[in-house]
Amino acid sequence: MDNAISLTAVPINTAVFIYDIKKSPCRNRLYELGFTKGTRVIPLHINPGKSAVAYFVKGAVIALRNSDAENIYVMGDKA
Amino acid sequence: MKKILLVGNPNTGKSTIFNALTGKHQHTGNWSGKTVGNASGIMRYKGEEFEITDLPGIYSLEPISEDEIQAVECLRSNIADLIVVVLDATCLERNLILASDITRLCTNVIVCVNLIDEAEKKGIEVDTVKLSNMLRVKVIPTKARSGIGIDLLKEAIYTQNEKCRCCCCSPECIYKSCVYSGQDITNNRDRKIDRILTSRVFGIPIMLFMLCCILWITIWGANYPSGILSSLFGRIENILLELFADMPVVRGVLIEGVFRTLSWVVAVMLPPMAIFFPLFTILEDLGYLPRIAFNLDHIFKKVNAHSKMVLSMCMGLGCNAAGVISTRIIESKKERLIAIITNNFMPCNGRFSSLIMLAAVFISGGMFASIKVALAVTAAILSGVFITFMISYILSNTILKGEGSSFILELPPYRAPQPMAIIRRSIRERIVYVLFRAVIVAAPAGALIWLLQNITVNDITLLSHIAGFLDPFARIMGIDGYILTAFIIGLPANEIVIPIVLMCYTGNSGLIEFNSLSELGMLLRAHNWTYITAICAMIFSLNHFPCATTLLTIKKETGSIKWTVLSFLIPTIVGVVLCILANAILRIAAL
Repeated sequence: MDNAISLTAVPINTAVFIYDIKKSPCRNRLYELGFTKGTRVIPLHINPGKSAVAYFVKGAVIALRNSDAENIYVMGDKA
Repeated sequence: MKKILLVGNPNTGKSTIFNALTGKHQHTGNWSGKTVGNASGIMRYKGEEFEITDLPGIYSLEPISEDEIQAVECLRSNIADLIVVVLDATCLERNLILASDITRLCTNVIVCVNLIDEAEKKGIEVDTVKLSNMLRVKVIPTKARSGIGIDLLKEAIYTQNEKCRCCCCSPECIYKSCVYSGQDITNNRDRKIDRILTSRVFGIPIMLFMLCCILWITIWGANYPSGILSSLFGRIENILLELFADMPVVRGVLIEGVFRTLSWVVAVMLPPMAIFFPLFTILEDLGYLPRIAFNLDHIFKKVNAHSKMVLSMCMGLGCNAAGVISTRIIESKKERLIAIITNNFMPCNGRFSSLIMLAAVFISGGMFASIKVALAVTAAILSGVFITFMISYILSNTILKGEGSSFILELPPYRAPQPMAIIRRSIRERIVYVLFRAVIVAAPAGALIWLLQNITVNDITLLSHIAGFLDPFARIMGIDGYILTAFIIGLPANEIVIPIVLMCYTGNSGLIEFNSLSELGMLLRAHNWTYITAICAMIFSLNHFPCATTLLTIKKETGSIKWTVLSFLIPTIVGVVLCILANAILRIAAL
């Protein structure tokens, strides 16, 4: 879909829903941590070096490096 | 005896439940990956015995890192009669995925919904009856930290015999029907704290301030028990010396050698360890360690290392062998090797006490002495961190070249530390452990030193021969032959390095009484130490070969002699080079 954006482009405290995760070495880890299609994700904190962001996902807070979060595509509402 | 496995996501309280069931004292901490190996214990209930095994946390049945592989292998091997799946009530949406996978894989399962109190506080309600109906297994709600629900869990384990039928609902469906979540996600207590502790402006300064504070409390607090212990040991020594007055050799080896070294270890090295450890455990239990990794991620990214290395580095502050084991949570093999090789640049508890003493040499007493020493030790630890980064960078661009790394880490909820548990654990793990090591390692070392000091060849003691042989080289490094000898004899345990140095200098003058570590520093100054000697000794203490225990652990964890040898050589070479440089620069500057 055209209006899917990368998770790194989502402003803090904005809820979005995962549309797709591009193939990458850490995709399996992301899956099992709850980053699956249709899941709601909320960015919460940016770290001091701006290299990683902490996200709320399925009840937990998970920090992801931006280079990994880039592979996650999200949309404003559930597809 | 029935075998029972505790399985679940990381940081759901499996180890706490394990401890409650078995009465054991498995390490617990508030971060994912605290438990990296299996632990077993016996639970006795109504006259029957059960073997309980605590597994490292897993997210799914397809493991990625070393600790997870071990846990899943154990789970899949079908050795267990019963699986207890431990779930975090605050995070059921994700936890239920693993729970439903396990109910499909295994036939005999009990589900334990832990941290139910924390969930209530967050506005999350769990309908455990409905959950039990949908998962088709027994569901026991617990608050393991306060022991609530543990008896119910024991009873459930005791009476469990039915084979459960497979559950047919999806985890999402179960979550939606059984859990009501009214929690404020973006503005709850944890988020407010994180907004400060991980903020762009305050995040890193707060971290440094906390480190400095902990060191200051340690140094300030250690003076008093050190003084008392040394005068106590001094008195005991005098009594013992009189008692054995007729037997010079026994008196020499046992009292002047063994007893004196033991008392140095206990009086000088133990108090800082016993104070630092609980303070550090408070941070660990609070859940602060993963935040450090989050705050420093950009630096780790630059040096191509894994930010989870922060966790193994923090463990290394307690003990490098423990630090090396904790690298199991790092998924990539190359990044794990970097973490293992560089772990020794973090001063362990044993070396940390040495650093305090050495810093006291060039910081004379006075009002702010303990603050100044704290700053000096903070600087030493930070330089250790800096060297870790440099070596990681060099390794990741040469022999351990690999793909860019990822960083995925859970930031756990903040939890109030339990003071009594921390005190109990500190006594057991620091005081008892250090005393044990003192007896095992320091006693023979003390006897050895006495013999070296008292056996003469060509009218010169063996110790002087060895020190004299090492002296020219040690001088280039800014230290002397005795100090270098102490480091070499101290290979089995870093705790004994400074006691050996003191033994070498105080030779036949008996135990020196002192009131604070600063005073002890003065003693070294009397033996021609300058601030340059102290700084070089600090550098070498921070950067030299790992202790024997750590080396054995590295051999076990990497399964390779090559990496063990490198882990020995790299810090030693760095130490020698830095000492030579520091010595040259400081001497030129002093001219």
